[in-house]
Amino acid sequence: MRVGNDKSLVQSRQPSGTEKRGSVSSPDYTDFHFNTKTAPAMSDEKYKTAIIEQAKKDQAAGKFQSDSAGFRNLVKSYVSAVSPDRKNIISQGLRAIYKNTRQEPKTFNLLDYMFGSVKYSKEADDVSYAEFYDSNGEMVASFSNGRWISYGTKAEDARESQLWGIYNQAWNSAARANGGTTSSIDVTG
Amino acid sequence: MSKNKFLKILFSALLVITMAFTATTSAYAATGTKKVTSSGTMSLALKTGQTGNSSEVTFRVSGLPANAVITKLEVNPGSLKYSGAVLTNYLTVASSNRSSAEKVTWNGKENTTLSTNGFLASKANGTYTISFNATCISGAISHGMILDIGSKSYSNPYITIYWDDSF
Repeated sequence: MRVGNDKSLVQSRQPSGTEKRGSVSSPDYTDFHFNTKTAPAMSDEKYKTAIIEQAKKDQAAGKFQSDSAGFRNLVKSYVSAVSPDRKNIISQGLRAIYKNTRQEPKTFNLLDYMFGSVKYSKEADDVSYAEFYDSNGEMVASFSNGRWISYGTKAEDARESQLWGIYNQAWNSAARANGGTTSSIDVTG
Repeated sequence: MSKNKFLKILFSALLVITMAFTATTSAYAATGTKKVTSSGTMSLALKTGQTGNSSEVTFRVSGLPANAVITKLEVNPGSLKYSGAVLTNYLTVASSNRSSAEKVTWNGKENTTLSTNGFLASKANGTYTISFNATCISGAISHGMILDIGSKSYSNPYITIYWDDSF
């Protein structure tokens, strides 16, 4: 067993550089950790079948959940169907920040716009911090120190949990059908 | 066959079946907990009135059964150091196995146990990061002067993963 830690970044997304407003680069929406609303690729019934098939395939290949590129793609597609429109919330929020010509306090500002609201700190053209909220008032992303973090909404979290449940059951059933688990048992405290 | 002999045979048979079932179950299922410590520090320095996210501490977890999933994930943010009045707003927990981060309610108390609720059934082996969000209310006092900057840090945090490979 190897257990360690270091200071590398995992989920905070470094700006992709594909789009930039003011001093802020947009997040990379193709990344596994940054979803935005996308039309579902299939019906929920077909998704369920695809998740079960993916689990069987991964079990046979000795992979589990995010070890598998197919699983990650399926998660992104399945969860994005209920994601907020982060792309518009963030781009319109940044547009509102940079369009705001009123005298701003040096601390925290709040702007409401069509897709949601944004709380931010800006000095001159430099946005040091921003929190983006959807129309339900849920925080969907933050930007700080040049890094983006995507926060799951209740709907996204519930859908991802649902996918894990379907997948795990199918994976374990496949393992039993194949005569056992693929790994040694290692109970540690 | 006497009644006693019949009962003995029946009892033995039940015992064998029970033992066989237990053995089968244990061959497929295990549970456990894993405490992963870090010597890292989450820290930030902010101007008065500003809000921001701290640096991250990363935990790498491997070696658990390949199909082990989380049944509970707890975070202890570690020991606090600060200068000025810096208000902790929440903790952010992220995982390589989950598509979004989770915002965990926290009043900033050091060495406390914080429970997450969005990791249930996700893969246990992986990489986890934590950071906190805070607002500087007032800067530090130095030589009788109030500075414009406050800072806060939490050292030696750890996570505890409760896992199960039959979930």
